[in-house]
This record gives sequence, structure tokens and C-alpha cells, in this order.
Amino acid sequence: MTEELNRQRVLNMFETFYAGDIESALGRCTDDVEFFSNAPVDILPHLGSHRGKAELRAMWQTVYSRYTEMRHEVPIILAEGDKVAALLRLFFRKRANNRVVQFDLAVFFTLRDGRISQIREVMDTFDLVEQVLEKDLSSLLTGKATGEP
Amino acid sequence: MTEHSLWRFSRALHRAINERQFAEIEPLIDEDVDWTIHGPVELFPYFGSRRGKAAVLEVIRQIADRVRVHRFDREQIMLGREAASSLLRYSLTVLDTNKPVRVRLAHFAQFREGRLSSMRILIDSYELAEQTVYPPHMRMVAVSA
Repeated sequence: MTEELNRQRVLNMFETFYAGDIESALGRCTDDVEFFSNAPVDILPHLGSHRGKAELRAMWQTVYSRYTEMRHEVPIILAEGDKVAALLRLFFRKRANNRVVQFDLAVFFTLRDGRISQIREVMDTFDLVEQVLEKDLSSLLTGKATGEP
Repeated sequence: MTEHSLWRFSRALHRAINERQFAEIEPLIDEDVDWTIHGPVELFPYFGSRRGKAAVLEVIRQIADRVRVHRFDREQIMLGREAASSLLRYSLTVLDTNKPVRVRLAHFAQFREGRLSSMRILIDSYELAEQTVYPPHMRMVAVSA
């Protein structure tokens, strides 16, 4: 029963966040919420580690300042006790040039008293960096064009 | 109480990678398995999508040819009836360079009658590339993208 509720709470949070309602999404988190995204902070400095609603708000506002549109799909969601894990497929449209960044994100939540107290993210960061920078890093590293054997 | 399929699969997978013993894992994979490790296939040819038991066994062999697992810590785990998800931190050695590597990954596994039917793995691939293939002068600088 708790698991189903927590699952729905996380789905509701996704709905509000990706609809652009940061305050409503923050309202679903505890005051001391912890966030950690395994990402290269030298390239994506707004990611990394944050604690508390103020830091989370600032990070989410940074994301929103860079993208005009965000769409999400949830192909997998799993809940057990006070924990929920979801695999998201995300589509963000860049404010700068209208290009769409598409990536998959694994998010692990811990809930306390019905609110999200911990968020941990893992993603294919190489792909994300390539899309954000619009650079083919694989070709730079291998000296081969994409698809070249 | 029956053991969750994840534990059997996890033991067999690590045995396959570290000891090149594939007999244990073969019956734990569904014939029609769908398997994806998200990441740059140009740098890590064992990443990408595979379909079917033979292709998945082959990719596990390719991984076993290249790395050894020293340690893994499950930072978070969720077990469903025939599904499981974990957030893991791995300590590996890349065999051809003998380089130690630490990387975080997440997996979402689905089982059918105790056999793996779907596996999705997301890996902090930039961190992995930095530790394994990046020459120091290729380090990127912060951007406002």
C-alpha cells in the first residue's frame, strides 16, 4: 500500500516538475532533501550535489533557464518500502537553438513521511555531454568519424 | 522463501566476468532477452543493445575479456516480484592496461520465470571515458550549455 502511494507520489512529482511547476515539485520534497547527480560538474556545473530546497530550486531554475520545453516518459518504475526507482526518457528543447536533447535517466528516490528526502541520478553522461556541447567526442577521441569501423 | 532471481543472476554474472565460467549464467538468460548498456559504442564496443541469449552471452564474454570486478557496493536496491533495480558503485581493473577504474551505474532488470528477460544499464560513461581513454589534454572546460 505504501509502495503504491510512494510510486504515485513520484509520478506526481514528475508531472509537476516537467510541466514547469518547480514550486509544486519542491513542495513534494522534505526541507533537507539531498540531491546527487553523477555528472561531470566541470562541464555541467549545476549538477553534482545539492542539499535543501533552496539549492534544489536554484539547480532546477538553471535547468529551466536553458530549455524551453521538457517532456518525459516513464518506461520503468519500481517501488519497495520507502524507496522508488524510475527509468525516465527525457526530451529537452534548448532555448539557445531549439535543438532537442534526448536522454535516459535513472533516478532513485527515498521518501520520508510521504515526501522525497533523497534523489540520486545516473545517466549516460558521455552522450549527454555530446548533445549539450553538440560535439562528437567519440570521433575526437578515436580519430574516426561516427560509424566508421 | 525463494531467492530473488537478481541474486542468482548477479552471482552468475560476476562469476562469468571474473572466472570466465559461463555455464552458470547461460540458463539464467531468457532466449528472447533484451539487453542495453547505454554508452558510447565507439569507445566501448560491449556497450549498446543486444537481442537474444546468444548475443547477450557474447557481450558478457567481451566484458570478461576486458575487465575484472574487484568490488561492488549496492548503494540502493529495489526488488519487485519479477523485477529489480540497483544503484551500484564498481571498482574494476581494465585488463589490457591494468588500470583501476571506479564507476557508478544503475540497472533495471526484468525476469520471466526466473530468467533475465530485460536489462537496462545506465553508466556514468563520461567518468568511465575520463578514466580509461581520455588523454589529459582532452579534459573539457565548464560551459553554460
